[in-house]
Amino acid sequence: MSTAIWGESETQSDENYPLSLLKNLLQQMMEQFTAQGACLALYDENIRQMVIRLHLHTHISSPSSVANNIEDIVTVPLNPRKAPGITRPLNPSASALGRMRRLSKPLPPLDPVTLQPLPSQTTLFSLGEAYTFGQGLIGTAWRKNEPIVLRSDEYAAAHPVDSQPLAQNERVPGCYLAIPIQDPPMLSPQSTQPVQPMQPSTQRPQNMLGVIVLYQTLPGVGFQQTQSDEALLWAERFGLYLQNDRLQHSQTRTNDYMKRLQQISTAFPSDVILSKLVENVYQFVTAVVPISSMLLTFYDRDTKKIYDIFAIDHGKRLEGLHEQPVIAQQSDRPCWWHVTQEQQSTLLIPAIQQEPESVQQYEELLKGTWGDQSSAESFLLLPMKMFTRVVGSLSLASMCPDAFSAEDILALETMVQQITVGIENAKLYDRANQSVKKARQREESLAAMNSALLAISSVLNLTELLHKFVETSAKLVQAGLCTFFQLTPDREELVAQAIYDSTGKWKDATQTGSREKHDDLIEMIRLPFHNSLLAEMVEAGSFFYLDTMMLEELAQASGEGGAIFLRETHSHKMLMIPVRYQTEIVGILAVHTPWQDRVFRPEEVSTLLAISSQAASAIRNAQLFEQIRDANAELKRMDKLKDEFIVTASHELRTPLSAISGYASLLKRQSSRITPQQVLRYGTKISGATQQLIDLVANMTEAAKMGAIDKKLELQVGPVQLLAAAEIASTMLSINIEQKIIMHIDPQLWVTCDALPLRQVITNLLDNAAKYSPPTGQIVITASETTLSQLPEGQVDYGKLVNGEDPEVVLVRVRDEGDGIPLEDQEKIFEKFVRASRSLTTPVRGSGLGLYICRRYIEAMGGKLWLEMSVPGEGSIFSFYLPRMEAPPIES
Amino acid sequence: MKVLVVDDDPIICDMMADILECEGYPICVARNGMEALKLLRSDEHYLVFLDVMMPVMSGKDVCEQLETEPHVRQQHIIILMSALDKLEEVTSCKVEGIIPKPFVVEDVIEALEPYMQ
Repeated sequence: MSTAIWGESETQSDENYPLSLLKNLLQQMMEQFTAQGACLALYDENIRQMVIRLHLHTHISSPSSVANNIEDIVTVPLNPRKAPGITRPLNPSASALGRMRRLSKPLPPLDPVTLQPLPSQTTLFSLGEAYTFGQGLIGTAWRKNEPIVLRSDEYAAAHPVDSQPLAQNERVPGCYLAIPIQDPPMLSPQSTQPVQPMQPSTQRPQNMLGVIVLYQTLPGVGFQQTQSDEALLWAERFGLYLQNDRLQHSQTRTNDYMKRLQQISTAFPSDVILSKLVENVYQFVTAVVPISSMLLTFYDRDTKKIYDIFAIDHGKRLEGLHEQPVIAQQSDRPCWWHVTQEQQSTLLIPAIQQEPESVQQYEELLKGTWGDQSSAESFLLLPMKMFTRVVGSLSLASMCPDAFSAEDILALETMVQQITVGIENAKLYDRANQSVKKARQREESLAAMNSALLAISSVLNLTELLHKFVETSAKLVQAGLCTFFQLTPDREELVAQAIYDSTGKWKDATQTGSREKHDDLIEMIRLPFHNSLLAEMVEAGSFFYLDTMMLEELAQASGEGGAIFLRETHSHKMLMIPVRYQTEIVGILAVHTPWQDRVFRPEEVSTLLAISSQAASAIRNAQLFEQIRDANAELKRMDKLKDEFIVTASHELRTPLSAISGYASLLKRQSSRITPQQVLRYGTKISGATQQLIDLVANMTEAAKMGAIDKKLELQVGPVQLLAAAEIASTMLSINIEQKIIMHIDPQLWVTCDALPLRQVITNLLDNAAKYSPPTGQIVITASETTLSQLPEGQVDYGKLVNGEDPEVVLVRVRDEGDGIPLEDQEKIFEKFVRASRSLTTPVRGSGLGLYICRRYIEAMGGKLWLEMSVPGEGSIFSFYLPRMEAPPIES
Repeated sequence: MKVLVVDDDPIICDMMADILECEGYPICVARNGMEALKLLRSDEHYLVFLDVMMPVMSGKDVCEQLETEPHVRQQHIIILMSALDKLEEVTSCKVEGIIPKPFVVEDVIEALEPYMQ
């Protein structure tokens, strides 16, 4: 039995075999039975024969000293793979030692074992000799299972093969006693095994452990049949010894299994390195069974693939398999599928070479990633079962026939079960870990996004907001360059409003050092939107990428700033996210991919989308806030203007009122004394003042009627002869001016407009000129025909210059020789209620509404009105133009 | 004693002249404070109707200037003519009278009579 010791190897030591104990026992038995020789054959499971393990005999030279001159022959168990009958020394040095110590010893105590010289010298019961069931004396005792006493002649007759010629100094035993050693009936470990691998029916009675043979060489001395019972008692002692030993071994082995299994199990799930686990499995397997090849296969239920992750082919490891497993589909491995997933049981082929049909049947399992194992002697496939689910398999091949004992298989199954649980745990652990990790990442990115959104939402300053927006976006996805383009109100262009540039690419492209200049240049970056590919793509989806070709196409359609931006920043790909407020496009966020060919991950894009939509409403809010703020400031300004107007107006109203009231009371007071001439004079004064009041009130009403600056005025546009309009206007002057009015107007000049407002405008300009000019000054009004493009810069309405048209206009100038208008007032004078700042202290009358009303009228009639020139002390020129038209045919 | 009307508005000046002529007072006119000061610094004694809001030099400025010239100041009677809403601004001026604008003939006569007997 002990030959089947687990972990049996070439270098097996004496410790696995209680030889010294057995020898002692055998020696004692010899003494008891006064035998001159004794040998012990033990059952060898591997060859299923009885093999002689121990042979003691007394020296023949001195019969009197039998007890003191026992030579013993000890050897090691046979290598089961060697042919029976060939013995081997324990090792060379031990043999040499034995040879030197070949001496007689008194008994007891028995000193260190003395080894017989090479067993070849011993012909009788030589060590290592094996006996089959029923062969020879030993085989007979085995078969009969009872003590046999034989005399030498009987022996020779019964077993002629054994009766070989003896070597020198050897004597033919006179009598033999063979006693079978039965296994003590209790505690047979095999009987508790649940799995019984298929084994050929044993030729040995179940409980036979070995056979003891005692012999006597001294003539006349023999064994009595009566000694049989006593011999059986001795045999029982042997049996107990052997069983005890076996139990000890089995316990040691179990402990070892346990230890190794524990090692494997402690590796999980905290240490989830699969390669390490696989290594542990391999170590365990090689320690348990003599394998030549091993294959570890996993089945991934989720993706329905089969992975070979570890393979040993005839002792050679397949490198790199762990990193890059061999992947197969279920359909590729029907046999594997059948065995693991359907049968779900251990498959053992104990002797492949004797079962060609098995090789055929299981060819798929024997060949593959781990090479060709069809030349192996035994094969074992262990499914890795998790409840009813099989997650993989462990395939083992051994060059030894019947290499997997039931006990080993049990250990391997336990181990496989354990690693299966371990792997599943590891998977779960890994999954849990990953989802925790993912959740944490998500949480982090959400937190980052949240704080970014907060930062964006809390800013009401649009510029600051946009800068924050691009910076946050860039940082969230580690982009080097991020730009926000705002769509112009006419949807023609996208104008860069903010750039975040961590790479310095833009700075390099513009070659500017200072931040101010850098910021100034930003608005130069303009991309076409209307009718461009951007407009198409914006409609197509929530985001898109511009590739190199599209970038170039766009660059060609862009102005200089846009082209520099698109070309010089060396972007290979640009992520464009339309920023929408509800359905309305506010602008586009352009994110440069950080390096070539990188596309943002979906999470990054969705982060950008989220932040963009938030930014859209923030931008909207900021815009509204700015509008409200501007409107509020405008309201405040208007309020102030209104107050000023009231002051002005009351002053302006008061003067004519004073005159009216003064003259009226004068008339009353002096009614009896005044002359008709005086009455006429006073009456004229009163009506003049009244007219002034009427004009003022009319102006105010008119301005009020015009309403908001963007309100469209209702006009009756038609052909108007400019000269006629100017002549009428000069007669309508509200004050009697002292200055001379000179007109240089061609009667052929006609304009398209409403005649009444035109007259009013000219009157107003003449009035103003008169008010601000010294009495000796001249007021000159001129008109000339020109085209729109010839007008001074700033006054050209470029919207009317499209399609190569250059409309003809009439330019009218009113020049005075007044004080001029202070620079700070030159634009303001056209606003409502505003007059040149000194006007309150000048003798100039007016509502502060004249120029405002004029400009409104001229613009409503398709022209423009502006202060062309104003030089302090020399005078001012007010100019306006109106669309020119051909003189209509003169009506008869 | 002559009456001096100082106002930038020719309508007012004309009207004052008409009123005072009818009442039989000798009258002269100045268009702003600067012109008025020139006249006041002569030997003539004036009763001055001084408008407050005028270009070049306002009525208030004239008063302040005259504070520094007491010998000039004491020769004249000064009556300020001020818009009702500007009265507060001129209360600090040491003048003989203030007429709010717009005024009626009686206001002028009442202000003038005590000095022109």
